[in-house]
Amino acid sequence: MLRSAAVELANRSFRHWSLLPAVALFVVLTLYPMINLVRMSVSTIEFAQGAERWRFTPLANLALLRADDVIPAALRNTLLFVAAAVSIEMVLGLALALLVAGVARGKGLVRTVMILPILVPPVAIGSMWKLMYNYDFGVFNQALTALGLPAVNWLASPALALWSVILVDVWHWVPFVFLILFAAVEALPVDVLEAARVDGATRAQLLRRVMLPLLRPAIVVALLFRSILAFKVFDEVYLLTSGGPGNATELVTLHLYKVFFEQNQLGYGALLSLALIAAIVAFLLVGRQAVRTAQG
Amino acid sequence: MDAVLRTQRRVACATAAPLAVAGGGWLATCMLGLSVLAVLGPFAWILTASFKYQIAIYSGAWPFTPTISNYADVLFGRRSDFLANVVNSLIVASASTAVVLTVATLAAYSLHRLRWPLWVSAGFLGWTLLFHMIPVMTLIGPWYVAFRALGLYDTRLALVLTHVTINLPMTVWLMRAFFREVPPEIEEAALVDGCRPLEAFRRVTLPLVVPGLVASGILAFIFSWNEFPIALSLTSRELATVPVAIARFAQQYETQHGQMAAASIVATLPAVLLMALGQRFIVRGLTLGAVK
Amino acid sequence: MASVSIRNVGKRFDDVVVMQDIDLDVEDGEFIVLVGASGCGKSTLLRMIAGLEPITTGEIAIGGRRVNELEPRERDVAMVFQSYALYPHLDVRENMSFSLKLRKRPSAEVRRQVDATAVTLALEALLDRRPRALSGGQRQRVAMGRAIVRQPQLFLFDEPLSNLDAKLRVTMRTEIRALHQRLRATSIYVTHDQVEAMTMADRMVVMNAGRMEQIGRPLDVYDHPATLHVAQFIGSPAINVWHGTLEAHGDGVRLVLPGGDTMALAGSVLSAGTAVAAAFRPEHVELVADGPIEARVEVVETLGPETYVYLDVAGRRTCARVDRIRRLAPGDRVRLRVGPAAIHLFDGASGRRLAVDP
Repeated sequence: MLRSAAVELANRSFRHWSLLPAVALFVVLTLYPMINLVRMSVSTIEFAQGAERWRFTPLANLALLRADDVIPAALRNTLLFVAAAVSIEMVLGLALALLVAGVARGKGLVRTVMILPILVPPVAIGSMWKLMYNYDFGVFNQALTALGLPAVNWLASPALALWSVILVDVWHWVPFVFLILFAAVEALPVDVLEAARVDGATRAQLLRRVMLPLLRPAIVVALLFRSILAFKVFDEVYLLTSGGPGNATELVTLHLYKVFFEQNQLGYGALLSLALIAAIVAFLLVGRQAVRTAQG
Repeated sequence: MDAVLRTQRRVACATAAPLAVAGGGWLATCMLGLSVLAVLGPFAWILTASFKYQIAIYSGAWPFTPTISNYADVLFGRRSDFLANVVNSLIVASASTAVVLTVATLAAYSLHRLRWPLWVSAGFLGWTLLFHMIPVMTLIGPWYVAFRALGLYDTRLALVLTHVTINLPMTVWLMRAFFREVPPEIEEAALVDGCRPLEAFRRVTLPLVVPGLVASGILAFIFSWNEFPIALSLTSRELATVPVAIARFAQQYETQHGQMAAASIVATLPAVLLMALGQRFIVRGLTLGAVK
Repeated sequence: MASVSIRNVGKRFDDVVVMQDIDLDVEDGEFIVLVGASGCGKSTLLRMIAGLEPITTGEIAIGGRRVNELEPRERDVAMVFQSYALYPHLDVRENMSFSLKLRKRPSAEVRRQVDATAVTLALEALLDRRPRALSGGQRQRVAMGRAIVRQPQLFLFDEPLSNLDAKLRVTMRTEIRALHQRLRATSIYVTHDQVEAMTMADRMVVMNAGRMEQIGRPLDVYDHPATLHVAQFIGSPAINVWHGTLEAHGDGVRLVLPGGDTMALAGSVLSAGTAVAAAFRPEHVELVADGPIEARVEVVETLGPETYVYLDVAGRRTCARVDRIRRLAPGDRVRLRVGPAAIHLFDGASGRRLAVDP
């Protein structure tokens, strides 16, 4: 009797409690750590004989921030990386999506191939390209030598390293932009396009006046997604250059990792993390406005 | 006469491919072939490198004598932990996928079926979105502190929990989209037919979102398998996952390039396998939400 | 089988009252049709009976048992949905046995009942198919079968025919009605189609804006609409409505229309000066040479058995049914008459029927 009552209760409230595990997980593993970040950001944490020692030193971390001369380089590199990589990816991805839509055969193959880079471990991509960029035997320098040109120091020359890293990111993520935009192109209302043709639109007019406006929401979404993901980039760059040579490819996330786990500055790292989160929230608010505008 | 013919051809072309903007001719096909090559080229190059002796890699010799010694050394070599790393990755990815699927499916169902007050549903979904946008590196610090305090540092449990957390937003959003496609009347019919709410969920709604479960499951597994920064920061040598192992390969003073290539290929296998099995589901999963 | 009694039922979503004062008694074995435009609350009422929507006020009893607090599964009702809501992952046999299996009936009995129902609905050849592999009409029959096989106390139909094409709809209409005559199962049927309501109902309930406008046998409702809304909703082509004012005339009153035309009215208890709406059906418009009102033909619609003529009567679009041998062309001048007994009068403000006879 008691059991059936319990079953009854579980059933009636089933749809309520089913949200609970997810909420609990989020509170424990994201909300609490974020609150903890605040506490850490005003502390100095040291490990002595396996035990933590926390000291309340709100100004020390700020002083570290002011003295940190990697930050300007990291910010500059990150912004350049995001802007260059994302804009190249958007242009190539959109062009490819429009191109594939017009081809009669082979769409399935293209789609299959394009998924591959998205699913491969970013670390493996980093390692692949590290081999390909190798000065002595990488495929690029082999090709240059075969053409009688001098070999290039792809990852070790300060002027070139960031662009080499950007090229890897472009290779990695053009397929993603393509997949999103291709799905959008395929979902375009065919009758509207036909109506435009009947109304006398040329191909260029059709593209500029009908298709692109209809694709705008998908383009904005892809742009937003990619900007955020590009901002989070870590794995490949860690593999390829770890920020070098010097600070030439130092990115915000790489620097954060080094502060936390190479310099063991947990408190200062927390301060940086908070600043980063604040920056992203600000970007999201602006981005949301952009999506709203784009959608109507 | 000529003009008439031209018009006819243009009309025929328009009906054949209404979306053809860029011409759709041989030029487009060539460009496509090129981009496919550009994507596959690096894979092909690394694949051949993985079958080469170190000396053949250095000389760039072609043709070369293939060898499987790189794979043998990576997987079974005395100084290599790689096989243990693969096992670790499999355990962590499987466990975190199972947990995240359960938790996220329940949450998505609850959000979909109940008229939660706005602050609950919007708050929850907004938080998942925000968390998804933040570099995971910002939270690894506090996780490190908390897991050390709990004695969970350098355990698989810590990896499983964090991987569940990072995959939760995507899985919730995906499952929510799939639940939305199940007409509410079907579950209502089950209730009228005599189901309790839990039964209606289990016997009717859940079977209908199996494609969603497959898509989210494959993606969650792959993203957990691929995950690098958390595994790098929260584990030591023994519990390292495949990506961490590859990073160590790449950073050794005397790099074994052939083995590095072989390890990268092995790390790529699950993705390729799962993609072959569930391509249809994955494409839907990856593009869902971006296109209405 | 069971009767249903609905007492003073109302429904609020948050603070918005969407339904109130619903009182309805459905007799055992009766076929009741709830009809109204979309958004009138008919589907919500049906879902409240099924237990899919909470009841804000009032009481619903099925077979004498109050069901307000009962889960849908405890009410012993079967429902046919507009979208059919077949379980896509189960074949036809499994769809039909689902509820019986949930009730833990022996499998031999389940099999027998499903087979018998399949024969009734001519579904034998489809039992192994999934819903996806069925046509619209077949899905509809499976949905019916899933309801019938349970032998519930009460059948609920939520616009079950509206997704079928016009021809099939007419066939299924007759089939459902025939089935009901055989099973004599208490049924509540929701539709927005007044033809379905007229042809299928023992009694029909016309709903509007969350209220019941009228309950009655189809012909009674047709002949004596309680409100102007009901008069306009029931009947196709729609009833003609002329707005005017009552004026004393001899012993009684007559209707004065804007423009000066007048119409004789039956009855004598109405007071002069009232603004009214006079409504009369197309079949009551007589085109006769000595009619008191002049009109001009605008459109002629020939349907075969009958012809409808749309007339311009001093700016008022008016429909008349005429014999097919009558040859009229747009632009023709005609004169018309409406028999006083055929005119329904409604209050110009409230739309309620005005009593003509004392």
